[in-house]
Amino acid sequence: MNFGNIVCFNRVFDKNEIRNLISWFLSNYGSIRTKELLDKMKNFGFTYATTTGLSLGLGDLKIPSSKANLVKSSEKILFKTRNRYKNGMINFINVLDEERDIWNVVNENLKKESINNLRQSDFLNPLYSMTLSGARGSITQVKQLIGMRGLMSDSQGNVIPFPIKTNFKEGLNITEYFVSCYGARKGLIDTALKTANAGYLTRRMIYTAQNLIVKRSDCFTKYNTCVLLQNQDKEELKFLKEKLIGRVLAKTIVNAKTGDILVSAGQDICNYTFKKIINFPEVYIRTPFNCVLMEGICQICYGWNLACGKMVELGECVGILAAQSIGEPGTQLTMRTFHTGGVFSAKAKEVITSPLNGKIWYDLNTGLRRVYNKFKEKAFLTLQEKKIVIYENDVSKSIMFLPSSTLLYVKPGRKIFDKQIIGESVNSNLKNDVFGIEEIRDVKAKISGQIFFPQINSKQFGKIFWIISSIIMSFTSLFFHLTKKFSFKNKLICPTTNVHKKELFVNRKKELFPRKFGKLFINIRNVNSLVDKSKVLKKRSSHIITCILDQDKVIMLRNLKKQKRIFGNFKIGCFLKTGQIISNFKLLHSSQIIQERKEFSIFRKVMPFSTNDDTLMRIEDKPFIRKNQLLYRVNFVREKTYDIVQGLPKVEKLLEARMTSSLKEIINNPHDILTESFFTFLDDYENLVAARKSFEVIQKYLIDGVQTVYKSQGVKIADKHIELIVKQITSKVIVTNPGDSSFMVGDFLDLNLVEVLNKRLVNSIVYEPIIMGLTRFSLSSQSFIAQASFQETTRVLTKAALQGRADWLSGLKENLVLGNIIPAGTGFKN
Amino acid sequence: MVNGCRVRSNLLDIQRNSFRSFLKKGLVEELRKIKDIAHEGFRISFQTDNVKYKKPKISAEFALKNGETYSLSVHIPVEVTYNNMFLVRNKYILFAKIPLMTEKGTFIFNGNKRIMVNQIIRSPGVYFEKNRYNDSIFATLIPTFGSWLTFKIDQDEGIFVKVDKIKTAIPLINFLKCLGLSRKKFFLYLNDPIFIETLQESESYGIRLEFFEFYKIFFPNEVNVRFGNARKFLRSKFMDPRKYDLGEVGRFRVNTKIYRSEFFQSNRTLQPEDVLGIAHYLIELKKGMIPFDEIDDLKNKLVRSIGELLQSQFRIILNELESSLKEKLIFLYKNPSEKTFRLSRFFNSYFITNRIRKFFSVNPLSQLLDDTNSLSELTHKRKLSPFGPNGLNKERTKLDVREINTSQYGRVCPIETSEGKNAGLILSLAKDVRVDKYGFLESPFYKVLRGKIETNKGIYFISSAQEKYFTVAPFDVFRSSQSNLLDKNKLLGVKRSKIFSYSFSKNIDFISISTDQFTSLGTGLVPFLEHNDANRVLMGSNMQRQSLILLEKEVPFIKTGREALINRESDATVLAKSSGKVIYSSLKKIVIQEEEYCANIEFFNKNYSFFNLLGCLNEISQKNFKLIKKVNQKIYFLESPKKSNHGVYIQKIPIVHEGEWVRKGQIIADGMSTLRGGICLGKNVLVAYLGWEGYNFEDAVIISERLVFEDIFTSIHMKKFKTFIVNDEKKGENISMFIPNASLKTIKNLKNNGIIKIGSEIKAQDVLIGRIKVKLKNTPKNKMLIAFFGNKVRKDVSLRSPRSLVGIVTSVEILCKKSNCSVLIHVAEKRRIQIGDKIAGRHGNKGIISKIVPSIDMPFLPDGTPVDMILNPLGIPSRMNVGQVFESLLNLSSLFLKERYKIQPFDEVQTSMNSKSFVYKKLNEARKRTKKDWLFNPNYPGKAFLYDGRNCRPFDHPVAFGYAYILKLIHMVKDKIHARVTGPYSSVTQQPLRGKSKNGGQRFGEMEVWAIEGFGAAYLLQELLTIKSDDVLNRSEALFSLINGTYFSKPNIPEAFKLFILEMQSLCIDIKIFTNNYKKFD
Repeated sequence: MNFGNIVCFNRVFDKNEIRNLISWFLSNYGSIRTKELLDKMKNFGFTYATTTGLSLGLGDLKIPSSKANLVKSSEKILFKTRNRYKNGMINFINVLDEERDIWNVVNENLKKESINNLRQSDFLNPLYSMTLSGARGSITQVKQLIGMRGLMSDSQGNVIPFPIKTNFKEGLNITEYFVSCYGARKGLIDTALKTANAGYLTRRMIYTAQNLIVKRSDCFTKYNTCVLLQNQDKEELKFLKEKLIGRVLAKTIVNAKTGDILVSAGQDICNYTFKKIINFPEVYIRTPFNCVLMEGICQICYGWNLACGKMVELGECVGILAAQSIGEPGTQLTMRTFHTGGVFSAKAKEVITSPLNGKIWYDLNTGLRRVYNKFKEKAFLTLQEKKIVIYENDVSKSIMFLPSSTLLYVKPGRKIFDKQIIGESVNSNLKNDVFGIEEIRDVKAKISGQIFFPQINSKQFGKIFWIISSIIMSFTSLFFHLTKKFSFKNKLICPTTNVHKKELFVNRKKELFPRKFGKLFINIRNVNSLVDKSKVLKKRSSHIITCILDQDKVIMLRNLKKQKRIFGNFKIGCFLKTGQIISNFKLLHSSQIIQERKEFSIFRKVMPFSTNDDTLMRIEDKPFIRKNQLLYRVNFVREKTYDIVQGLPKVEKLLEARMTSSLKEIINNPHDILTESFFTFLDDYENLVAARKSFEVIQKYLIDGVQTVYKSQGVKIADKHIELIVKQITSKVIVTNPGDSSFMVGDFLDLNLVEVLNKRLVNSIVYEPIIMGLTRFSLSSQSFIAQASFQETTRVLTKAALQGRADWLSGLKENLVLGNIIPAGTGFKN
Repeated sequence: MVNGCRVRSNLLDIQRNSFRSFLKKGLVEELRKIKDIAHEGFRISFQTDNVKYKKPKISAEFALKNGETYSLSVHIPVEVTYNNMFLVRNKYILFAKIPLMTEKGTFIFNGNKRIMVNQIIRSPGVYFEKNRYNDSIFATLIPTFGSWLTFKIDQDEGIFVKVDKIKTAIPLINFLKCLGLSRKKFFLYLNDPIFIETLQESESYGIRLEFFEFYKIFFPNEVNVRFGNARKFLRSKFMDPRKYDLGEVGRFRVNTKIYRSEFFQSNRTLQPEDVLGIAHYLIELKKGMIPFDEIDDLKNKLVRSIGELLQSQFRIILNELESSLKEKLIFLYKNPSEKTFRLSRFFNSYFITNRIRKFFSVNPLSQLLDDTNSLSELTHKRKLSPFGPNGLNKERTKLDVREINTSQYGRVCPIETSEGKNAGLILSLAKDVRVDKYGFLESPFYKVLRGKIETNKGIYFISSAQEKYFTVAPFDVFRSSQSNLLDKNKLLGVKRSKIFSYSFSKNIDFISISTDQFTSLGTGLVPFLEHNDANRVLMGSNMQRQSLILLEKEVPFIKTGREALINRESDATVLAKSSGKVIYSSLKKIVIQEEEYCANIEFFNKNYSFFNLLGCLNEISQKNFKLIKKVNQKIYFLESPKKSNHGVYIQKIPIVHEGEWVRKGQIIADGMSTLRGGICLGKNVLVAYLGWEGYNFEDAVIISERLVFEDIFTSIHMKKFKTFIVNDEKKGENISMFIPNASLKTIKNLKNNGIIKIGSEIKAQDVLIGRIKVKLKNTPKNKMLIAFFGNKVRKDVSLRSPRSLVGIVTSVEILCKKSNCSVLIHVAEKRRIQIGDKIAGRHGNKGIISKIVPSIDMPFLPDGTPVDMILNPLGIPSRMNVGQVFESLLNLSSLFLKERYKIQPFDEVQTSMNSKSFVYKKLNEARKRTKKDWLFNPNYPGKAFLYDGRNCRPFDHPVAFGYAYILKLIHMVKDKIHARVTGPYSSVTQQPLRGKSKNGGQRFGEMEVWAIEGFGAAYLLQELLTIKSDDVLNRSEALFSLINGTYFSKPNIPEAFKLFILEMQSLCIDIKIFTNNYKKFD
């Protein structure tokens, strides 16, 4: 057999591989043979997909066995966190942060785990092959099917702090399902409303760029753009390759040693030439920005038509192509949230999980420092590479080496289970696709009571203050409770400290008034049955009237709890934390010891609150607080999912060159940058150069801005397309001094036009560069017919009529409206 | 499971109760407001206590058939006096005719079934909000009707008041003074130093000036204002109960918000104290002591159903009536006397009736009933729409409104909403929801005490406002034992003060009564709901509403327990009104013989006093008290087959046979999409998840020929044709079977009068009604023709069937209203499933049929059964609707085990992976029972090696298969397919018309133009926009040049552009087109 002409690829052909094959084939064999190849591939694919019998059953959805442990591990951590919160070591914002962080970690790990599990156990699993080949389903979707759904975000992009721990195979529970509906609704709203926005953006771009047609073969410009190639790493070079391929060189590149011309000016950069120039520090290329044609663009400045990888032809509507190329992904991507189902995903921090069940051991003495992490958890920071051993049993163990600056959460000697989080790396760079919105959150008292500020505050935990739980009630209601069933006669508050009803008197409105202010100790045992029904006073609990707040006619009752006598060096009045174990019993609430007797001690429930430096206290001067009253306010960074839906307005903001957003002025808006750089350049250069240079600055800013938005979503758009749109909006200047010309101050002129005019004028026109948003540009185009067909028809036509304007029918739209041949494509005439 | 303690859902109560309360209460309440109209000595008084309603004279079915309105007439006694002299005494007059709701919540209005969709709007009351953009705090006081007041607190603690949307604001202190509050009072009340300081800074002028100031913001241009006028104006604006009404709800909500105890319970107008309270609240808000209101919470939203909507419409109508009566009274009568006075001359019931008719036809909430099937019907009646009077404006809807709110749990379905621009706005009520007396939604819950569900205490209906204080758990939380004890040590996902969080069981106050409580009707019909992405469930529940009624109905193997409920409440079924024995049953009627036992009539005829009666009881029981058997025959007429609003064939079929005993409330006849067992929307068919030669690429579906030829997915559709018969010689039109130049084939089915016979088959372009028109115009051509052929120059103007129709005439009716006669022809059409039709499962797995394969070529199971339908497995991972896989497997075992299952949603309560284990267990059981080993193989559960029908080779891998309940949806190609060569053009722009019905063209839109432009096909583009569209001259010539093979002539300027020029010129704007040589071109 002769394998001479056969190219053999021995690898898995997924979507990307096929894409590469086709583009390789296209550039080598041309479009007609590619068409045949595609047809064959299609038939071949369909036939074999049928005979293979690719299907997806219930058994193919394999939940990784480590899921339970992963979830368990994070629940364990969060349990501890909540305890710390109960003890006032952290505030609730820290809890929220940690909750979200932990679930993110589990989410990510589970994502990896479910794919790994499939790969290792069942390589031909349909779900696995569908996802990894790129046929259907993303990894996020696989995660939702067999991992866990994770956190959801609502239509404003807020993350809902209720993780969905189950997956679709297990089935969600009701609460989880309800939460997941938020995400679904978000998708629905986005698809319904934001596609219209994406379409409108496209339309504006079309109207801005439609007259950019390839008009000449060369404009003989003297401007060029320099691209630095020096000292770039691989990733950067790949990026630069995308930038450079399809451009035309402005300056000849000569090999300095030999003097050979490697690539000459006017030659286009293809894969092959790119390799040649890769070692040169800088290359000069032609870009659309440099084109000096009055209307349209020249072949050389545009370079390749990216659709076929050849030099662009004359008459090509490159402007429309550009606008469509930028607009289309916008429309596509608004629907992305719909398909992922509104699942929140952020880059999780890197954590270290245990590989097996066992006991952990490491040397405590060297290379460790005791620290607290940002959630005020105790941890060890490794200062050097650290050896960790996990013993499963006497025989098998696993040794791990942790890099330096890792936080270790588990003490040596502790039992750990498979997939338990034992540490995290500190340096991991987080929060790439999450942005936060600062807002102020109110913290409210959960219980009513007395506020107690301790004298000493620990540095570690900031301020802690306590609310001593008590009931605040009015005299009327106390009276009501006491008198509900019994006749007035029997309504005796049985004294332990001999408080008689004499000390209370009743006024005309049957309100109870104390005669004396001070400590009244009421044992409610005897009136138990009557206060039973009121929720506040529980059986067998004693209440002390501690305080009488005169002006409000309220009285404060303190809830006391009898408990076994505790031994130890506890002072009366000291605070005990939740979960603290004292003399064989665990405290369920934080409490304060009030009395110690022979048989028992008396506690009262307290609630600790911790504050940071940035909290705004609202209770400094108040000794008492009611339930749900405002305690303090904190600055809270609410994280939002960042997707294209937030991104599209950003693109719009850039291309429209908006100065304000929601009535607030944007700091550093394109206009400011432009004028600022123009005037700095004006110090060194003449008007023309300064204008060009300042335009260059703003052009780079705009292109980078637009590209980052699209790139964050994994959308690749050739720079060339964005350049065309940006070229349009940065092509106008405003006349500040007309010189000899007949223009007026404030007229908008084309930069290229002014430059030509200035060559002929003795007193040249003085001008400033301006940036014109898409809408403004479209509405200031040469043809009023095109303007009128864009928007604000009445206004445009009235204005045109008043000015007595003529339409020269040079652009696409005008000719289209009149039913003429458009001067582009086949209708292009040299 | 809690047994025996379920809520009986009355799905239509929301509609029925509301209308009932309008008739009972609402109407009279409004009438009372115009009880006495006194004007210029006249006094008309309506005796509102004696309002009488009269039943409609025609039956609902008759109205439906004849295009009439099924309405109730209201009669009210009227008294008219003139200077205390009676003109009319206590005379009952026909006051108005109001469309009457039928038993199933619909109205029959001009022969159409209509319903009034429930409106959900912001409840009247006071709201405290924060402006998102500038962080300013403001309060809005919304009355039921009257002006809106906005109170705004600015940076310097100054409070200002705005009325409606007028931009000028006045200081609060001035406004309060106008309302009649002294300075002292509010200084005492608003005990805030900063506020008082700012208040004292503000100027204080005399009270008169403040009235003028207030008056001026409304009438800025009026110069000489009288003080009295100004005062009167303000009073009428806020203090007149007929101009300003907070409403029962509004007053209640203002009271609870502002006062500790309820102050002004009866007074529904604005009180100065209210304003003072609002100011106080604002100050507290500014300090940050109180939270802001969540407007999107359901506690702030009110459901207004038909009754309330009608009532508010009535209020407007009656006000109009009053002023019109006043006008007419003086106009018509100078010196009236009892003899000359004619009530009918100034009062006519049409005045009100017409306005009510307008309300029913114009109001956006009054909609044609969506009766594609019984589910869609019920869902439509339980919809919530924010639009309509006093509702949301479509353009001004914010994003937040569309968002799900936690308060919607158990009240409004979070899943079912429409896709597209109404997403999140139009919602469906949850299953067991109830509306309280004010109009707030309430959901049922069981009380939980210390982790124990107290079912014996009954059901608590909790509104959103109450829920704020409780911790509410869903029904699927873990229970440690049957005795309802919740596990103490497990954290449960609950809703605590409206936020989802985890909590221990001891903290739970209430628990839902069922797992499907939070879903709407349609959503609840989806089995294995919890395994599907919410988006797909949404599609599933929306598509169930579009499913067609098939020729042979089939109940799904797997139900959710919701089916029977829907069946009962559907308009389509007939329920027995009393128990009895069926003595006759046919397609036309069912006769049920009731047997009642009652006491001897004699006994009742004697007049016993109460005490006598007691004394006589003994005597009676012995003597003449006898139970008498009373036989009563009740006839239920079944409606004849008819067309639904969506062209679906509806027929009622009795399901009881003669001699059968029926209970009260039992279903005795099935309607559309119902069968004994429950609602049935589709068919159970054998599906395989497999890629098949690319024919199921991108959601396309391959079906077997069996589904076509065995009429499995065949539905019947009806078309209605209506013409007026004008047998008028003058107009020259009459109906006849003698149509000039018609072939015998086309007219063979006509009767002598020219109308088609019942039962005749018709094909495309057949004549339905032969009609000829005699040309009467005296044109020279006609004159000549008359000279030649006598008086018989006739033109064929017959009613012909449309091109796509093939069917059978089921009914021909001639309706005569007065002298106008019209013919109604119904044609039934049998549609088999075909390529291009849309089908869907219940899990949002929809697709279009792409190929119909002979069943021998379809893949087959190991036992030789060919598969009915091939779905694409690629449709599962990205859509995340795993429920379909569960369903297909359980259906399979259901078939082999001959069992039917009722799957409760969210059944993973006690054990995780319950669905999976149950499905596998049943499948394994089926394998054992049937000894078909391929049904369940532990190595690849739920899959089997299927064989390719074309070559009988097995596929390389096992294939998932099973039975799925598949629906045929109303979107069929036959209704959509359309092509046009040439056709009608719009007369103004000369562009092709739009739409299939007008044989229109395809719009070549702006974006499509860009595509061609980008491609550079200039000539193609020019052709599209000129000779294929509105270049009048060349488009006809293009045809000839095509025939003759010559070149197209140069296109002209499009007509639309010429129109544009003309329009500009007509606006006196001179605009001309010039050619290259500066010649004017026109």
